[in-house]
Amino acid sequence: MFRRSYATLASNLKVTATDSEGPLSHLVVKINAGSRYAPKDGVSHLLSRFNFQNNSKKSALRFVRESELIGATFNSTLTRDSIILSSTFKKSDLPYLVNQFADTLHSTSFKPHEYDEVVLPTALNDNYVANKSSIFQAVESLFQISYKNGLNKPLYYDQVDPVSIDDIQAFSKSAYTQSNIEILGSNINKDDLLKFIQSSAFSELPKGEKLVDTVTFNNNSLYQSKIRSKNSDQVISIGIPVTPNEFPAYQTLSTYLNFNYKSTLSTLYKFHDTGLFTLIAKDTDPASLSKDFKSLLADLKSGIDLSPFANLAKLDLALSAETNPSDSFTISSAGEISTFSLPANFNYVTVGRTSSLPSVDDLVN
Amino acid sequence: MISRSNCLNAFRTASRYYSTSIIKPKYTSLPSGLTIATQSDPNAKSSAIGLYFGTGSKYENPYNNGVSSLIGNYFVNLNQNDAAKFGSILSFENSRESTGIISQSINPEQSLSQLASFFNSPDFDSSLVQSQAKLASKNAEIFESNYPKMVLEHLHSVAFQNSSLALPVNGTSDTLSTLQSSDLEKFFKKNYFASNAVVVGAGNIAHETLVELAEKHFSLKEGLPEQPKPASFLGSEVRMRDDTLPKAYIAIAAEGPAIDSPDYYTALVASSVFGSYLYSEPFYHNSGVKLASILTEYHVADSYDHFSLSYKDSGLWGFVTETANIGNIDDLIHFTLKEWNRLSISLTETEVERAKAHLSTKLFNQFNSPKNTASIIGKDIASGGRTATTAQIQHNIDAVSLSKIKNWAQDALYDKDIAISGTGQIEALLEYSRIRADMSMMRW
Repeated sequence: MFRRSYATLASNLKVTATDSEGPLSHLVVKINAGSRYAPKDGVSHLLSRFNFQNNSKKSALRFVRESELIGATFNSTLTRDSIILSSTFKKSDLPYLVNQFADTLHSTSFKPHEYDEVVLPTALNDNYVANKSSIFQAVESLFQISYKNGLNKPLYYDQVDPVSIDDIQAFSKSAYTQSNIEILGSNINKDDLLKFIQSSAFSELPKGEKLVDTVTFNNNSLYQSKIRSKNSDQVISIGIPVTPNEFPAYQTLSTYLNFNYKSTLSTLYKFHDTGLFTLIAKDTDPASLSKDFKSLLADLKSGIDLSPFANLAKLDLALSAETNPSDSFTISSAGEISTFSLPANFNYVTVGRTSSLPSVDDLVN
Repeated sequence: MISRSNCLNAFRTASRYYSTSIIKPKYTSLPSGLTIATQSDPNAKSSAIGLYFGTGSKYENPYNNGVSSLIGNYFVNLNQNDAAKFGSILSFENSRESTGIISQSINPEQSLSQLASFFNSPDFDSSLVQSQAKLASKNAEIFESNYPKMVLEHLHSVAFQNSSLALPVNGTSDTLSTLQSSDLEKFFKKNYFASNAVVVGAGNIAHETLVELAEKHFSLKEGLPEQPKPASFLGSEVRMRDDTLPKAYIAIAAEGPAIDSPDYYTALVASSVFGSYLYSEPFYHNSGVKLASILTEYHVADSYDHFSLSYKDSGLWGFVTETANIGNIDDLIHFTLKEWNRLSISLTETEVERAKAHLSTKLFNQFNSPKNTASIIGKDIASGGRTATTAQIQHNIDAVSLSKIKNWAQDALYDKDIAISGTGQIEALLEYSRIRADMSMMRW
């Protein structure tokens, strides 16, 4: 038994659900309020950490104790695009879950002591732990130099742009609106889900407007950033902002690179209006890293036949659709992805002992 | 409850969306003894084809330790280029009592024929084996800096000393670097048969198709592997103090039930009474688990994970923890073991209900992708001969009661010997007899 259907409530919520049989259901609430939409740097991160704290209907303590008793797991995670609330739970607990999510979005109390004692320390720890990775630092910097608007903002709150609890609350009012939310259910009966949503605080959320960020990217020159770090990992990375119709080619390129160059990591970050292709190489020795990266770039410039990797790229997409159903796109024809040569302009970041790592002009010539 | 792995993967975007269908694999046994098990889901976008054998590091000896892992490594590296062309990713997974290859694929027929053409009669090229052994040896060195996993390996090595269950799952850099193609050939001949093999399919593949394909392609030889001598648990300890590491990493366990023991699920529920814990996630600060609230109040641990690991002859029931608060390790261990005592004495109905709810979500959620589903079914059947359906898992968890846990704990945990393993800054980890004394109480 399987059904997939879309519906728009009388209100403006977008709801998708697939039903099947099995003991566990997944519910995901995707809020179009990731770091690129933050009015102040880091507000999205702090707001995502405020989810599941005290709200006017239920304390955080009661929420945790109840969810432990029914064996439900909860997550509030952040991407550049979205704040994502997700839960895995027993199928029969659906009404309870819908109400939890709705109350979190509708009635979070934003108590000052929670900000100081729970939200802020946790958020700062997220940022600290993430920045221990040189790869994370490189990706952050690539976004920063590749984009001019929202996507250049840091993913996590770093205190550079101070944020008060009032800023977070104000952002929640513009972000947690019906037009800005998408609900995805898996192993959930859609009619039940709609019914529960209607009778929950979801229906009381203001209609609002979808948050927008007009994307402008830097690809008309070589932009460069060097981050000194005492981390033993030395990192060289390039980033290329691409448009959605270039996704098939760059997705296949990323599959090709990950397969053939095991010491590098290549990712295509996909958004609805743009994408950032990244290629990151890591080694502890700056000299051999520089040498390997130069020969890799020479390969890329000379042009690569990607068509043998079309099947593998298709598999990659099928696998990522299991985690990200709404972000999926398809590779329709192999012709889209025949050969690839590196464009003349790309953005470039090194992390580590930067004086021993090549500059961008060393690589282009 | 937020699972430990979820927290650690907080930087990944979203949780898995793949819905757990009812796990009730279809089985067929071929005359050769080969088992075929399929958990089909026609709605899945990919399929996972696995080939598992009932062998693994337990079937090795100290001289060829790592050989089963190296065979898997060898297959993957030899075939991954061809696999990529027809849209398949190969991975191998070694454990103590099973070893297997999984091919995630959009082209299951070719995946299966690729597996069969190698495992029907493998040819181990000596220079390729040598380069793979070198690579595996390097990887084993890298693994040694994964401290929480390494203390668990060392826990096995002391708890089951003098048996092959003590051997590291993927070998050590020392043993791996000495392995040659003749070692692989010899081990393959003794341990890889149709009778201990299972072909498993999950995701977008029909059982009938898989049976037909397996019949067509596989011609594994018949026979039975020699069973290693049974392992027995011994209370003991191993310490690798290293003050250059940032934290202390410690694992402690008593003997747990074997895989076919009637106490299997009782011990799993008992370990879920404490579950996992991560100081950096505020969720755990409000947790109803008493141990979690004690640890949070004094911040004596950064994380812990309770486990009940079962093998054919024996098991390990305990926890692995890491802490940067190296001055208070004695408190961390004391309060944890005192909480373990409560399983025998003053456990409450609410704690049992919470543990059961947590455990069933955790077990069902393991089937969250075709790959993971194939892996669990393959490992279960190859090592134990069967795998539980969702209905059986639920039934078995429902059958665990407060009195069953108390009886098991009084019998298996209270005042029983323990195995201890630690690395990092463990100067303050008390001596064995002091910790052992915490397994019982002066008053009942």
